Amino acid sequence: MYTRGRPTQGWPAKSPRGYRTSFQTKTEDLLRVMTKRSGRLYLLLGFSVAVLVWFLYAWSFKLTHGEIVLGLGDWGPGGGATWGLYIGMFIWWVGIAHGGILVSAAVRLFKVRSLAPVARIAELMALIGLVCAVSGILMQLGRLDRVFTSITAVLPRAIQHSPLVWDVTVITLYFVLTGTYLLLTLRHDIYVLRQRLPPLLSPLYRLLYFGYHPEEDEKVERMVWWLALGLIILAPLLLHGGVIPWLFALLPSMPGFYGAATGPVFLSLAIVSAFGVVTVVTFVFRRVHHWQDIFPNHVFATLGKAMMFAALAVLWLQLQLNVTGLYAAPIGVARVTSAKLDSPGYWMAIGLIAVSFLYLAVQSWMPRLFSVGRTAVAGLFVVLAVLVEKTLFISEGFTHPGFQLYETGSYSPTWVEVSGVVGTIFIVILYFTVLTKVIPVVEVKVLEEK
Amino acid sequence: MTDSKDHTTQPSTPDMFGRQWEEMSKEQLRAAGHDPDLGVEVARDALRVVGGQLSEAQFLEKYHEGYRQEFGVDGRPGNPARAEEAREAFGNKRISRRTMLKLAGAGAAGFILLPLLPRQLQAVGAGEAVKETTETNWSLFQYGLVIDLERCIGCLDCAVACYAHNELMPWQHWIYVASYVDGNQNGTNFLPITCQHCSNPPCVKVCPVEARFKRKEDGLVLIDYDTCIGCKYCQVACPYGINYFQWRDPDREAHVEKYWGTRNVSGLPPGNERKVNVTGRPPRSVMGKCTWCPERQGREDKKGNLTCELVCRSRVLHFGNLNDPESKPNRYLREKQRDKGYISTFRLLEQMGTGPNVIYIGQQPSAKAKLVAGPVAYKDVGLMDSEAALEHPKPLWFSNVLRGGW
Repeated sequence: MYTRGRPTQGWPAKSPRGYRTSFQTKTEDLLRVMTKRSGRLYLLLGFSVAVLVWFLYAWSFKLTHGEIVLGLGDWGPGGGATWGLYIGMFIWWVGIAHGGILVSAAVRLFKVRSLAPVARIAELMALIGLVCAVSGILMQLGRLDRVFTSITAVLPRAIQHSPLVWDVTVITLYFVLTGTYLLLTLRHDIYVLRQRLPPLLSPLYRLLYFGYHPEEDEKVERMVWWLALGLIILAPLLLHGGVIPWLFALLPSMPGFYGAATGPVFLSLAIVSAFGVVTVVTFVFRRVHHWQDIFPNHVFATLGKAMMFAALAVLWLQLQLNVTGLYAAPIGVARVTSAKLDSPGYWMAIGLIAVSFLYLAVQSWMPRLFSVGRTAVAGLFVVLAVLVEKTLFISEGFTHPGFQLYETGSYSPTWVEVSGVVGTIFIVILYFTVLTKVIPVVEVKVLEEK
Repeated sequence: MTDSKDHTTQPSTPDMFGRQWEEMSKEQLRAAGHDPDLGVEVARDALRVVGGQLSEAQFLEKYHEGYRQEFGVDGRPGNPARAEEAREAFGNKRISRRTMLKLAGAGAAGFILLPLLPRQLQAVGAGEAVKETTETNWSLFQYGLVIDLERCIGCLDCAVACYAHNELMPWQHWIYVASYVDGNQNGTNFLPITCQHCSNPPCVKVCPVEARFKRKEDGLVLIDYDTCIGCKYCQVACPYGINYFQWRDPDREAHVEKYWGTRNVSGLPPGNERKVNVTGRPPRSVMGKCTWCPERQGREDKKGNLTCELVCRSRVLHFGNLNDPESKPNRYLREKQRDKGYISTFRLLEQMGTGPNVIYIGQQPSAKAKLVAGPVAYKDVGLMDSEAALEHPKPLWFSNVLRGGW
């Protein structure tokens, strides 16, 4: 069927016996889901859209009434927190967006074959993660109406000194690279499956594989390799191990933010949440669409191991922070460290990560304890933990400023801010629900393999 | 002690060391076999050089002949020909062994004394002012504020005047008078905090749209209200906690005259400056902070003082060009020094490297300082001392749990 149209060289006619069946079954699975419409699907779509309408309402409520509807305030005599949940959420989503790059790089650069089935999901996650992150920034901006004119007017100069501009620039670069990466690998799949994809969307598909020729595959593979290399260098050096922590690490005004350790701490949390989200999303796909063949157990075993090491790094770096922050620390650092250790939210976050780490460690040593469901729960735990930790990092940084004459401030998010977080989560749900019906969410090349 | 008091009265005048010192010095010079009048003259003019009234070149020229007559060579570091003169003098054997020793002694004394003099002035004299003049270019204009904490009584007149003048919200303290008790100070102390209009402002550095800028002509740090996108990063970077965001539409009309600042927004060559909106309270969702009244500084009849300064009954605030030794703040520092004999000054959080331009006279609050209620409560004058009473929507139940409220 897929040999119709332009004849392809070698593949799949020269494939070994048995290959065709396996490939067909898995591809059938994928295509079945792409064309299937069910009541549950429409229910999910309807609910997601309703949440998104609420999300937009909350945003417009903020735009109409001003930032007073957020739980924020001026730090200093005012005793508030300048930033809160929105910025915590921003860091959380950027960290999650790393999942795409880390998993992809593992597959394309280091040939970790067991993660190959989830590479595309991870890349798709990276794209939408960045969109959600940027929406966090936009929601916390006071004057959205001026952003474009104000930034473009001074961009060449501002990029020389403003960490926020570095941040926007790197995220844009990251977005373009990830999008290119995805498009390059997608063209082949769309072309191969073009006769069997929903006919309604054929103009879109024709656009996607415009000018495709099977001989480009080899070249594309090389391009993708180089892109992966670029991204894997960019992610830890410039994004979550660089520009994002520098938003805070460079400012001595807040002892909770300042310091060289902020970068490694951010990166460790980003990596653990990235693997966590990829695990959860893959689990949901497997569960909802009965894709046990496409995402076999060993995929989860590998994700679990990666998550375990990342969680260990998180715990170790937190230990470093807390010991140096308590032993003989300057007053400001000691104050913010003890406040952090006094908050149940912090212990909840650390507890969730520790429990996940312990379970994943035991599971990787004793395979009989392995469970896909529990691995996914561990993923969910670390993702939640990182959101809580990030938000506390931001708000407690502000409520314990370096200028100790001011009293300790306070911050409580309001429904408007929480709606922002819930809204972005549903943006991701809606995105994956729709995309599953539009493009193959697993690479066809991976499905070919036995 | 009397000597040190003398030092400080007029730091850059020749008589600063007093008659007693002069007599003593002349005697020592005479005993060493030197011309006592030349010695005293040189010392006086060296101080003028330090004070900036005499250039180094003039100083070198004035005593060049005197030095050569006395020592055979003008061995001062600024003399470019000194190596040649020395070779000539030694080659012609014009210098005796004794002169040679004297020369070495005079050189050593010069080496030790000259660098010491300005430091001595800084330590006990009108410290900050003189320090500025020796370290920075005099042509630079930097507005600054001298705040005499010893005179502040915490009446909040300044805060009320600023609030009224700039049409602020009641929780926006562009000048915040912190009342505090401290282990090493008696009773309640006051610390009025305004924007420090830093020489190295972190808020300007981090602004993504360059809405926050430091004005070249007078050193004010201002916010271009028409450019600011409300990201609040300036508030994050500032270590002083003096930024106040406009969280909602102000419920009063603004009357402060707008567009009193100029700046070259697009980095074009000089002549492309345009008027910018920098005065009074900011519009909604834009950052605001103490401006040091650019609408006053822009007018010949009003410039050189601040609204808060004018209403202060206790003469706590003294505003002016810190780089001008004859400016109001520098004169005040000198007078206070003269009257009291000594003063202690500090700049707030100077260790942050921001280069603050507010000089406080008095004692710095220690790390144990605690805020207390002042003699006049903020709410009694129609202001709010924190934002806790702001009408935010009700917080969600779990946020308290996460913070430790249960």
